[in-house]
Amino acid sequence: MRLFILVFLLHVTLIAGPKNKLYQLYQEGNYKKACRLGMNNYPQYTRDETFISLYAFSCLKADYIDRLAVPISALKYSKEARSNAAYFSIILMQKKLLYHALIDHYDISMLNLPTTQHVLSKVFDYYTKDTNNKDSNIFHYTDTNDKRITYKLYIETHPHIKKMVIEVFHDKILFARHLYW
Amino acid sequence: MLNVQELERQWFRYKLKSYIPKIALFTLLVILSIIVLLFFLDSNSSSNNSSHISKVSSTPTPVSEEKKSVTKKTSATSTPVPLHQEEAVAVKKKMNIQERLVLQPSLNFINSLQYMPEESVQKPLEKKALTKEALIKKPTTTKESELKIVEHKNIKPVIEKNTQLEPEKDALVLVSQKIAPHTNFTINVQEEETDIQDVIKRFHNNKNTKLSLFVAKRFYALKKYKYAYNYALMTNNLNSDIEESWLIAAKSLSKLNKKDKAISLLTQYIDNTKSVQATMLLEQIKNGSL
Repeated sequence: MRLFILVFLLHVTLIAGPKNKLYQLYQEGNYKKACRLGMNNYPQYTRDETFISLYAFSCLKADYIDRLAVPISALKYSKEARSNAAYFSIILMQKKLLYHALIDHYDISMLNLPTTQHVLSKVFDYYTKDTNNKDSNIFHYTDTNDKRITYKLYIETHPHIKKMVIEVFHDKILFARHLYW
Repeated sequence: MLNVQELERQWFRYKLKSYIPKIALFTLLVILSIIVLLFFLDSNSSSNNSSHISKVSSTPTPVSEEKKSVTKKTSATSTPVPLHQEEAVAVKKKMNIQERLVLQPSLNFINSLQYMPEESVQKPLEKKALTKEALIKKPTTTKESELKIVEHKNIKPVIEKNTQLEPEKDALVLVSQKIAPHTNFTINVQEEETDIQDVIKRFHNNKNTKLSLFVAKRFYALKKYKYAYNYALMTNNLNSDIEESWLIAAKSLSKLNKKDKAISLLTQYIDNTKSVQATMLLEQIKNGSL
């Protein structure tokens, strides 16, 4: 009997551990670690939407956009989860489309997708609305809400892969640099 | 003589004890079978969902209906507008912007995590708060910090280096708010904070006045006037020719209810540079219209 209780308690602590840790890492702003922890412990929490949502937001903040694919498929049981899944899928799709358009000169100007406040969505919107020559290598956009914020979009060539770079400038000072591939 | 009743009682206890391991084993088996069943059901539901997707994709009729309705709508809106071409284009653009769906992330699920023991969450946050403080108030003073404006012929060292103001506690409330119960998670503000921290780190590495001026401006915009004043001051110490930093320092002082000091700072600056903007700001501060 004692053994059984011990096994039960051990099981409970093992299950509760990663969730607490994930929340803690998220609160600390350690998004990369939180995303990795969420990904490693995902099989234990396939139906726990709180855990999956937190894991997904961590990955989004860490700029690991491709890793959102797993939470997108898992978030489906509650209204909030479905709304978040739609939010993540738009960002993931816009990333993939923009990357495809920049490298292969694929025309996405006719697309009118829903948008978000994420930097990828903003740049995607500016790119699709941009009527200028799409053959140029670097694109500069100014934020419509705040003219002091500007975006620079270009492709960086690495030894084995081309990477999409989005640089955010605030008063011409580099504020953030996002790298996607 | 044998005590039958006692013997019967002993026998009953012995029998009961012999059943305990069997009962324990049985309950363990039941729990295990429930867990296995749950896993099985979970995998079944996921496979069902995938089959449902394939079914939906094989029937494209509702999509075409939607398309039709969309085309109908556009034709209905586009035909009866008796405007000039440019105006019509502008209206169309506006319509597009209005129709655009903006998805917002929902972070209500965070509230369900509030039940977690506070100790486990608070400890690292306190550490972070300390690091933030350490980053922002680099030259610390043991006495209660006061503003000392020293008169000099040259403007350069107008304010002593150790006149740094203590960072407001309010500035760090953001961190503690996150763990307080019944509060929503303010992602945007936190992002802004972390982004400023990045610039601050870069400034401490480079000592670039552009960065410090930027930080001062951002803090002023965020209504954290003590921080704004500190960074404007650092900018002045590095390069006293940047007018904006003087103006931000004066504005911050005025916002901190230290108008006299703001006025004396500006008058000294105006005497040396004859700046028009500074005189305008001085008037604003004197009128109380800032």
